Amino acid sequence: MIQLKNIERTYKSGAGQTWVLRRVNLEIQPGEFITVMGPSGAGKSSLLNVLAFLDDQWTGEYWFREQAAYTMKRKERAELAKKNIGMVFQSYHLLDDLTVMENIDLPLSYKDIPRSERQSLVADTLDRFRIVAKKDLYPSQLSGGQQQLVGVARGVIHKPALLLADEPTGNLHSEQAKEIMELFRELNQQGTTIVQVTHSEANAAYGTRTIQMRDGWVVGDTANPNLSPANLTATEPRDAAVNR
Amino acid sequence: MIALLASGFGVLAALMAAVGLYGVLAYSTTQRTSEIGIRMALGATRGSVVRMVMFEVLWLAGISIAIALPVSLLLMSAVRSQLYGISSSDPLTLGLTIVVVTLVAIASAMLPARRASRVEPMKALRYE
Repeated sequence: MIQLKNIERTYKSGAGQTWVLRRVNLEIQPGEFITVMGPSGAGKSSLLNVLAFLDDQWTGEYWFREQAAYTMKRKERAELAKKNIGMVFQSYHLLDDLTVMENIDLPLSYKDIPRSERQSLVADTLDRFRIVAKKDLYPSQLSGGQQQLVGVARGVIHKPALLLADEPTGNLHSEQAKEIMELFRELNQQGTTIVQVTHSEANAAYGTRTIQMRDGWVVGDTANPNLSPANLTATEPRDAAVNR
Repeated sequence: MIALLASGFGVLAALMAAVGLYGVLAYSTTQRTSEIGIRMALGATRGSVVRMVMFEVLWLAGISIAIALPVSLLLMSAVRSQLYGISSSDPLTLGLTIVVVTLVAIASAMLPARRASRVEPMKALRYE
C-alpha cells in the first residue's frame, strides 16, 4: 500500500541543519496495524506528517497505492490525502464552535458529496460510535474520552484506507485509552490500515507490527528480524546496520 | 471647494475604515491559525480557506449595511434642510455607498484571506 524509500527530512538550525528523518525505508501492507515507537525527538511524528502529506519538505520516494506521490504537486497530494487518509490527533483538534455533528461532518464538507448523502453518512457514524445523543453538544461539553471518540469518528467517516493516529490516547486516562484502542482494533479488523505513534507499550500491544525509531533512523521492525536494536553492535556504523 | 473638502474627508473616512477592518481581520485570522490548520489537515484547500474568510467578511458587511442603512436614512431625513440639489434618500447615492462599503470590505479582507490560505497545516496544528 505504501512504500517509503530513503525518506529524509531536515530543518535548518543556526548555521547547520537538524536531521529528523534519515534514510527511512518502509513498506506498509494493507490491513496492517503498525505502532511507531521511540524516545522523544526520534522522528515518529515527523514520519506521520510525511505519511499524511502534511509535510512536503522531505526528500526520497513515497509511493501510495502504486502512485508516485513524491512526483506530485502539493494540490495533487492534498487530493490524495483527502480521499485516502484520516487523522486522529493527541489533542483531538475539534473545532470548538462546531457541534459534535458538525465536527464529524467537516471532512465531508470538503468533498463533492450531495447533502443528503452527507447527512446519511454522519447519521450512520453517530450511530456506529454510539454518540447520537451528543450530536448537538459542543466539544467543551464532552469529556476527553468523548472528544477523542468524536475525533476518531471524524477521522474515519469518509472510510479512509489509512488511519494515522498521533498519540491518540496521550491525553486520556487508562479506561478511556482502552476504549479508544479497542475501537482501533475493531476498525483494523474491518480493513482499515492503521499507523499509530505512541509511547505506551499497552497501546502497542493492539498492533500487529512495531517499528522502533531513534534519532530519525528506523532501528527496529518486528516485520524485519534483521532490523532490530539488539542486532546493532557497538562497532557497526548505524547506517550500515539499518540498511542491512 | 467645500464639496471637494467634504469628498476628501469621505475618502479619508473610508480609508481609515478599510485600515481598521484590515487590522481586525488580520488579528482574527491569526487567532484562527490552529482552526485553519485543522481544516486543511481534514481536506480544506487554499481556495476554500480564502472563500471561508471572504464569506465571513461579506456576511459582516451585510449585517453592517443592514443596520447602517435605516439609521443613515433616519439621520439624513433630519438634515434634509441642509441638502441642496439632492434628496435625503437618493437611491443612487445609497446604492453607490453600499457598493463602496462592500468593495472596501473585500479589499481589506484579501490580504488576511491570502495569508490564512498559506498556513502550513503542520505548523498550525502546533500553534497554541
